[in-house]
Amino acid sequence: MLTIIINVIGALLILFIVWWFWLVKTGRQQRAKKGELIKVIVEGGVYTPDSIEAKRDQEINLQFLRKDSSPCAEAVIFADLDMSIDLPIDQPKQIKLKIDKPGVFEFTCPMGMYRGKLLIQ
Amino acid sequence: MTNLTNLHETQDLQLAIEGMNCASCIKSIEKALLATSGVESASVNFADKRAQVRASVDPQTLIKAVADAGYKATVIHSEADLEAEQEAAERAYLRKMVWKTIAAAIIAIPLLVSGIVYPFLPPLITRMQQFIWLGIGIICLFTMWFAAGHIFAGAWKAFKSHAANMDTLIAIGTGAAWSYSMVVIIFLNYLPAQTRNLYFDTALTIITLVNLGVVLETHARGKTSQAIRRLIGLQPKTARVLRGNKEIDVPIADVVTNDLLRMRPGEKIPVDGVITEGQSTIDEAMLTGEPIPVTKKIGDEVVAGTLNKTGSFIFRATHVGKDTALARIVNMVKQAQNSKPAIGRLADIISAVFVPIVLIIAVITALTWYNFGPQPHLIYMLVTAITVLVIACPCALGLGTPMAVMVGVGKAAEFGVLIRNGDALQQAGRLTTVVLDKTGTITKGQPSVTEIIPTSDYNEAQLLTIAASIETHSEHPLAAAIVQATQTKKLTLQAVNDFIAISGKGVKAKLNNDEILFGNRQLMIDHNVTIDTLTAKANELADRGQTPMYLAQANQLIGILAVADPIKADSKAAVSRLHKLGLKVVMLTGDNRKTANAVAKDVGIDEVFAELLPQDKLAKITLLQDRGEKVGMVGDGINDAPALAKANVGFAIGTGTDVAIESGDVTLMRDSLHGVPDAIASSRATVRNIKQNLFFAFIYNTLGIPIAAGVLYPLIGILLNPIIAGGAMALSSLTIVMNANRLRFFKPAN
Repeated sequence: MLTIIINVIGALLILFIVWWFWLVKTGRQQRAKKGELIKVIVEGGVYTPDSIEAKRDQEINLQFLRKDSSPCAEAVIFADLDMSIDLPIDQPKQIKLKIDKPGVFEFTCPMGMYRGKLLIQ
Repeated sequence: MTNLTNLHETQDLQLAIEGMNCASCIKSIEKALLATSGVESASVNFADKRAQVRASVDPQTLIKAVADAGYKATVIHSEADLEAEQEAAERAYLRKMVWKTIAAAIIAIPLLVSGIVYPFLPPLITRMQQFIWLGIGIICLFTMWFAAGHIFAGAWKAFKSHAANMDTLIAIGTGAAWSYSMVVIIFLNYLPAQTRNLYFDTALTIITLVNLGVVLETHARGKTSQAIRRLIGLQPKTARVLRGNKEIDVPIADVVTNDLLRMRPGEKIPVDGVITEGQSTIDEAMLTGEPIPVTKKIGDEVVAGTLNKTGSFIFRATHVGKDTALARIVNMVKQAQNSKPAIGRLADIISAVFVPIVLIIAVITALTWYNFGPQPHLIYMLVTAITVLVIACPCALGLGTPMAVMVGVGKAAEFGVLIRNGDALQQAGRLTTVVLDKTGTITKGQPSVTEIIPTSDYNEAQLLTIAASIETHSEHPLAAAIVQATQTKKLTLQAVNDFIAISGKGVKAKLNNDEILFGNRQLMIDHNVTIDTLTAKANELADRGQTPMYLAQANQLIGILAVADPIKADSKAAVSRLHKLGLKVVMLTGDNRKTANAVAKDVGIDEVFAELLPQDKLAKITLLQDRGEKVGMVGDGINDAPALAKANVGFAIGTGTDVAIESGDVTLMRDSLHGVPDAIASSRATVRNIKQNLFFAFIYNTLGIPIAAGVLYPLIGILLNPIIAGGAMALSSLTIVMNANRLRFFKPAN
């Protein structure tokens, strides 16, 4: 009986991991409105919000605020846009973007642990 | 602090504002600033909590005005100050981590000693011993809260956000070890005897090792950004400005365009500018890698961060703050250091899904040991699952590329090589052919008189005076070289009449009623001038890449002047270095084939494309690429822009520091071809380092995780201890940072 219970718990755990980390929408999406400043908090291994939707050629105003003192979070990199910004601790850093083609543009920390994306339609 | 009120000078100042928490604060602060006498404009940015103020008052007055409005303001001086603040924050983080490591070690070491060396702690049998161990468990919990609170908090925050990271693995691993131990203590009599093991030592030792790894890694990481700190540190903090009749020392942030600044011997130049009085020799090595100090006189540009060696001079500031060449270089290097070459993208993709996969592997491992492992099942499943969780190191994967790029790009900057981004770095290492533009790249780009060969009745000065007197009326590029030569030798030109330029042949004019002819062989033949005596010499000069020009007076040949664009002293050595790196070297030029071949032969070029029009250069790059070559094009970044863009890597070569810094994939600050082999060698070393790091990270994880899961147990009976796994994990990322740091000692072979 114990064997069955442990195996079922194990299987459920695997399903939970898959569902929780890959299938559930994070709830950290935000749509960029015209002229709006989107504040992105860098803390606890995640960008909040981590998914920002915008239209092609729309000006996107992002403001990153790093609260994580570990060096992992020291910069945010937009690899596809060939851009990076240093993030001093507790000092907001603003960035303006205008992307002229649709697609998904990832932004990450230098080690790729923090991950976010710009969804351009 | 400078008293600006007395000087009535308008300054742009930046203030960092503290205490703003709503948009309405902007109005209050702006109002307070604008109400201050002497403030022309004030604008507060809520986003970066800064105020931009244009004022002719003491900064302290502004700080007081902001304080009276209920906020705190400090003057932002420079990039160096910001960097210093950042360094202080990093030091504080390091100190905190050291204390956490010590706290964890204080508890972990006795537990370990008692478990392995000498059992001075009691066994877990009686009720009293249960209480003692319960107390130890609670002490462990407090220690974990202090030493690993950030790990558990990070893991929880990430979990809530549907993300997983390194903290997740450590928190679950050590949390499971502590929780299981507490279950054993509390439900001692309900568990089989062989499962009554305690893992407090495991949990605390893993935390000690992980923290120690972070301390060592953070310390080592500090060294990776040494290059950029050295660059930022080049700019002095103060400048001596002339205002009215006074000379005053002001903070660097207070220097504005058109300020006059005095430089004394041994001082670093604070901003970019133009010398207006005096002269000196300036050491630009720290910026361009050029070892020989350059003489600068009135009208010459000086650059922030370079060192005034011998003289005293006054210069007018032309670029300050973020506009200086130094600031732009710092910005470019920072950008490049944070960029990623394509080679690192695979590691990025893997690390994005790594932690959840490890969690799944840990569950599968636990189930496998429970179902198929030996007794006691529960212990084996717990130990192997914990070992899998703590051995896995996503950091090793994530660190490999950025650490190497950070050090490699910084190191290249020390040689005066600015690499634009990670892809340029990777591509530069893969080049098979380097294409060089002749003029200004291999040669100095400044034609000059190289030989004066008079006939027996004249001397060199007479010949040069006659030629220059006539050429002063000409617009031909070579004419300027001849006139320049007379200025250098301080010769006085004579008046000429009836000047005529004969297209493609030369010029003629009257000097003291004698007809003067100056031009090529055809001009002499057309005017029946006998040139036989110097024909052999003229041919010899042409074969050496020089352009011979005949000079005749009253239909008599009086000599030859040769003009050439001299080859840079180190071009030949640089081409030889490119050959040693296994690269083919090609030259492109608009010059005639004979001169081009002569230059190519002298320097050691493998293939020459001569007599090209500017648009042909692009076609030749394409031709080489069609042959399967990876082409690096070296040019001045302005005239060669299309060819630079078409090449796999465009190298923009500078003339000192006035180079268009952002014009190429790679910018060479020094006016020397040696920058090209330096850049290629640096890139290869960096990419090699990235490959080593990624190889290590992949091998570590792909071998470490299965071993931790116990694949060796059925074969040779070995099961990894979770403590050793934790140590290996901490060491793995440290190994990568240390390997990247090896690049700091890289020196391109000459």
